[in-house]
Amino acid sequence: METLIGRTLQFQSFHSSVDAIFWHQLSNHKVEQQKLDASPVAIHGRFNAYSRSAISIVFGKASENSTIKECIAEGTLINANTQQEFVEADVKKLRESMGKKLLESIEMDTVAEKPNELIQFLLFSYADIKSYRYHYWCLFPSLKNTPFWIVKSSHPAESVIPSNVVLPKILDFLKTSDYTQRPFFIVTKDLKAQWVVLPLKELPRCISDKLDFFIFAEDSFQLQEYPSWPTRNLLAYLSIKHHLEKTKIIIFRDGITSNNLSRSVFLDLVSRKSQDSSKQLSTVGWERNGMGQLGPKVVNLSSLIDPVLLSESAS
Amino acid sequence: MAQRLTSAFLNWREHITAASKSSNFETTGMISPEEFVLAGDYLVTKFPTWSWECGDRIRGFLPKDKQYLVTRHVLSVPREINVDVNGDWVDVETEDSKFKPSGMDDNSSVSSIHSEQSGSLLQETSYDAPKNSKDASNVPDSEGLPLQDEEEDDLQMVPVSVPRNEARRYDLYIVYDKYYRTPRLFLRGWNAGGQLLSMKDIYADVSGEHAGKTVTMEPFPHYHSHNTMASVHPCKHASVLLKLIKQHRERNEPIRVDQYMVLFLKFVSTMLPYFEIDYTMQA
Repeated sequence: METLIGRTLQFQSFHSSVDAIFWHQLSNHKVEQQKLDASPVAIHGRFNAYSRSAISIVFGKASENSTIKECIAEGTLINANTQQEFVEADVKKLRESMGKKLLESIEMDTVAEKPNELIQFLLFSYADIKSYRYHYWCLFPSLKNTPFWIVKSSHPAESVIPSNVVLPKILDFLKTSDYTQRPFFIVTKDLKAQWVVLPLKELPRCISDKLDFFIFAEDSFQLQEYPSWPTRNLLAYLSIKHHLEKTKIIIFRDGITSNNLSRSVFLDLVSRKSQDSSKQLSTVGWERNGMGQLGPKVVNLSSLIDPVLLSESAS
Repeated sequence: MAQRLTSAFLNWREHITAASKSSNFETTGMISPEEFVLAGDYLVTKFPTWSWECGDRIRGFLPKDKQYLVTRHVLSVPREINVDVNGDWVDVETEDSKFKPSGMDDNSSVSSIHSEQSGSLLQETSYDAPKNSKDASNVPDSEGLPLQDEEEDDLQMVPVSVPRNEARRYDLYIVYDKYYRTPRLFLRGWNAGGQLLSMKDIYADVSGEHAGKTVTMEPFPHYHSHNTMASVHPCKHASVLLKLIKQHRERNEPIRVDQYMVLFLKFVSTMLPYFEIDYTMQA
């Protein structure tokens, strides 16, 4: 990431991986529970340092004892009742409402208790159950027109963090806290000069005590040079809520059971008001389809779950 | 219906096959469920990308929290294959019947069943693709959407390049096959645009001798719902693994039973030559 020094930090977006089982569960939900009620449904997404900026979307709420190897983003599913509703939906309004939710989490600081509110997402869908066709579009909201962050310096994480001391403490921290404490937490030295891992809600104290602290952002990446969506939202939080103009971040790219920090990167950042910062905050984050364009995708699972087709293929 | 009956039969056959308790993996290449758990534990400890999961259909001979192993987003790297341009994923919105990747034309009787089945797993990559199906014709072009400008002048986002020839990603699952007493691999793939891959797409990532023969669509046993996935049939697993175990013994590097899964991955990687699967024994 040395090439980034002096430049504005840019982020790579996330991709959704939606498994066939998700659509099957959505169909069951639609037929058995939702019927014509289009209220939002809880879903979640999982990613880790190895998922190459892809997030696996899972139906339903995350279970309390979710595997510690993954970060969990909580999501909302809005399933349109008809194709017309889906096609005519005001996607800009949907996006802004998710952006507003994100901004509220930041301003009300519910993020302090639940850092993973910074990575909430939306899946907007229409399930054509009879033909096993599923139309969908994911939104990974971020705020636009926030201050830019400039890379002052960048080093391998191991040059600033002793991994043999800190990694076991991170593992302990994550084992004893629930999944909402990821992907963001603080690593610093306490008054006795011992390394400690703290939840994000200790940030105000770290700032007021003038501690030399690092904020870890667990990062799933595809392009080596760029951090991804979660880090972008963390930095927006630091600007908007804590008015930080400089910060030290560890882009944490080693699995939590790893025994070194060889893939992780330390970034020393300073913020600079963007030209756009006079403009009002707005939201971005609709996922692009396979052609790189803004638009929904459609998947046809007829051969996987249509009993008629299955029986034909098996006979 | 026949598929359901077959599945029912397989479930029943598995049900009546008593889970083997004694360890004889060195002479048979097979492992017991307990050894599957042991070898799985070794795998998740040594390879941070793997973890245990439980699904929603619990199979009683395995611990509730250690039903099957999973690793997500494994890359299958771009490669030189003699599939013409039309066979590439960017054109998958064309009707499957219109093209066949080379090497898929003369299906054996076994593979034809499954390629027909896969033929209808049609993946439209985008809404502005050629309108070739009736219910996709009344959806808007993305250019008509009111979002384009706002999302495109976002200076903090890495500009998107169209991921034309980019690698595909796979989620790999290892389950225990009680009948063959070996691990069994299931896989689900996505193209660079996040679209689920059809069976035919998957064949392109499987070595020629396995595509359509030992790799077929099968119900995944850890879900109640009928969730079919590509799977490598385990009928030859034990004999191949036994051979690998012997080779290691001859080289004076005997395999412990907890290393069995790593050996299994080594075997898998020969069937899936383009996949970035780590099976380094020294790990």
